[in-house]
Amino acid sequence: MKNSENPKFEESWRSAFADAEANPPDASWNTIDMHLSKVESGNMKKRVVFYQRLAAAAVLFGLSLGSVGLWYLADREETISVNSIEEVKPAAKNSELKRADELIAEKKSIEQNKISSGDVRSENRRKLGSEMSSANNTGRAKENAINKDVKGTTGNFFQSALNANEQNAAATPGILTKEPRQAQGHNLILASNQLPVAEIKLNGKPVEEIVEAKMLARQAIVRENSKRKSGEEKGWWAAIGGSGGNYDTQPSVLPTSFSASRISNNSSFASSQFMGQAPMGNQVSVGTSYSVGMTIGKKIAKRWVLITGVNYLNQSIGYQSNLAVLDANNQAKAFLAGIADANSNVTATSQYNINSINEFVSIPVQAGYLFLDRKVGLQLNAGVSSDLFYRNTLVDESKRLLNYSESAGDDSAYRTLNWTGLVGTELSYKMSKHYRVSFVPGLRYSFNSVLKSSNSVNNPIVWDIGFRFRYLF
Amino acid sequence: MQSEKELIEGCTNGDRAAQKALYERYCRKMMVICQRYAKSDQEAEDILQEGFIKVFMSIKSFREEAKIGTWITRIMINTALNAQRQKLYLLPMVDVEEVTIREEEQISLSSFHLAELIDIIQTLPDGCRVVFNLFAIEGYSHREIGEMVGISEGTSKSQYNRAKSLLRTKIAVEKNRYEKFGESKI
Repeated sequence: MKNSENPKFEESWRSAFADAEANPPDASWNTIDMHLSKVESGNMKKRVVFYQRLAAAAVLFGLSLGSVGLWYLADREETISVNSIEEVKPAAKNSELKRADELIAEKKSIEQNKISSGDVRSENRRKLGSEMSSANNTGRAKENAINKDVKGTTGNFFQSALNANEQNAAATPGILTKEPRQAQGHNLILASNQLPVAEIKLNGKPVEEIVEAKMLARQAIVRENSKRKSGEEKGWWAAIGGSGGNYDTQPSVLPTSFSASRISNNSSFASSQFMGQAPMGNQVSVGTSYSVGMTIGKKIAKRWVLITGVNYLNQSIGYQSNLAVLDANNQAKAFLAGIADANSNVTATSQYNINSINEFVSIPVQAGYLFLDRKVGLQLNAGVSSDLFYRNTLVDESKRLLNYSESAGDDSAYRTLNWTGLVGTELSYKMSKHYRVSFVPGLRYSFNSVLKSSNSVNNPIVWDIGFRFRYLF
Repeated sequence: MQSEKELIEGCTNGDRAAQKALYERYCRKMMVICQRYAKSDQEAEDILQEGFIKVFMSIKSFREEAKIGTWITRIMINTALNAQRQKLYLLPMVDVEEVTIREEEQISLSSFHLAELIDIIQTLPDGCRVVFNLFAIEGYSHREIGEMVGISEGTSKSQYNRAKSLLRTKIAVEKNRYEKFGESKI
């Protein structure tokens, strides 16, 4: 057995230290506490940055989605087909209506010609034949094809149209008599453009059938547009909703301008070991903000909406404090230098975490631009909010001290009226005729400090994500 | 008084009151550990603070497979070793001359005050002190110590023997001193 394996030596030392205890210096915990606060403050800043980036990404995503949606819809509208009645949507463009009108007018004109032109028609047919024979090879082939198709489907429909064009040309010599041959050729091409000849050929449907379909489509479009116009004229909606997010103050450490001379040294509450210590104001937690309320909106133009409402707004943030305030009954309440401005008896105490809660009644006014206004909607909102300060409450998280509250007023340290800028996107989904839900990421930037003293907390920023449940009137 | 489970939950949630309560429950025991590994009480205090900061920062990783006291002790020892490693990097441990100690030379520490024992340990050279603490008091093997500190098993053994020899000498000196002043200590 080696010397180092002598068990009695180790046992004697092990037993000597088995339950050994020694008191560390009193300041050890304070050092640990301070270090933890610094680390948490750093972590909090990282989290704030993360949420800011998340909200910014949500805004960018919404805008990108809107842009892609606009591009897609615009492209689709250009290529929309009018060949079948099923594809004719109520939201068809004016160009569709115009074409349908033209077709209807043509048909009426043809009917009139059928009844009244008698001998003129046969003369015109002869003239048309003459014109056709004088056209070039390509034009002739095309016109022959058209003529054949017309004869094979609607008899005299195209020819009557051409007759009508010829008559019009004759009645307006100022326009077409200079070059009658070219003008007639032009009229022929125009006539074939007015009627979708290519579609007729592709589908092999009778022209009249298509005209009937277009007439029905037109009626549907007119009815739908009438409804839409009626809806747009009203354009009102009301919503309930809420939002939540983080609340970032600047700076994260409150300026401790609170004079140490105001700290009482004769309080029975405070231990003498805390006397003379500097007031603290380190931010120790991520600020949170939430709001609930109702909103109303009005569509004031095709792509513009005006939004207002009333909200309850609650913003809270954690700090460290080592002060308390004694009320008239000598009861200790939470107190934070740099936030509250009590004139009563302030006393020193051990370090504790304090939650500062600001409550407001917020009245936002925003303008919204609609990128998309369909089943899925997307709009960009911007505006201002007048935030009426209601109350600040300081809460000791350990519940050792009572809450300290300060309301608005002339004697208050807080401004009654505060202005905030609002920017956000609103991504919505129409659930039914009267209901739409929205997802609203955005930010609030305070134009002024809530405190009257200018050297304290300045211009907090709130990044939040909201939800709205709309009723469309 | 909060249970350990409540304290751990509170610390996991960053509740400062729970952190303070956990600190107050274990700080005295941990202070002794830090003093054993440190050269001075000031250094021990630094290790204690750094160790508890690590405890609170990593308490989310505590899985309750071990007792919280054991887990905190392990963190304190690791923190102390880290502090000593910096010194040992500058003055690395080497094999020292084998010291022969007779088996019958037994010692009794029961009449020593804790502070006196800590003082005696703190007089040991850094390498000897670390190996002595890990082997004699924590109960690690020389192979484990070698892996922990980054030395060979043989170096650990020779450092321990040297520590043992030095401690016996110091205890004998203390004994003679007390006997000289007519106050038997051993």
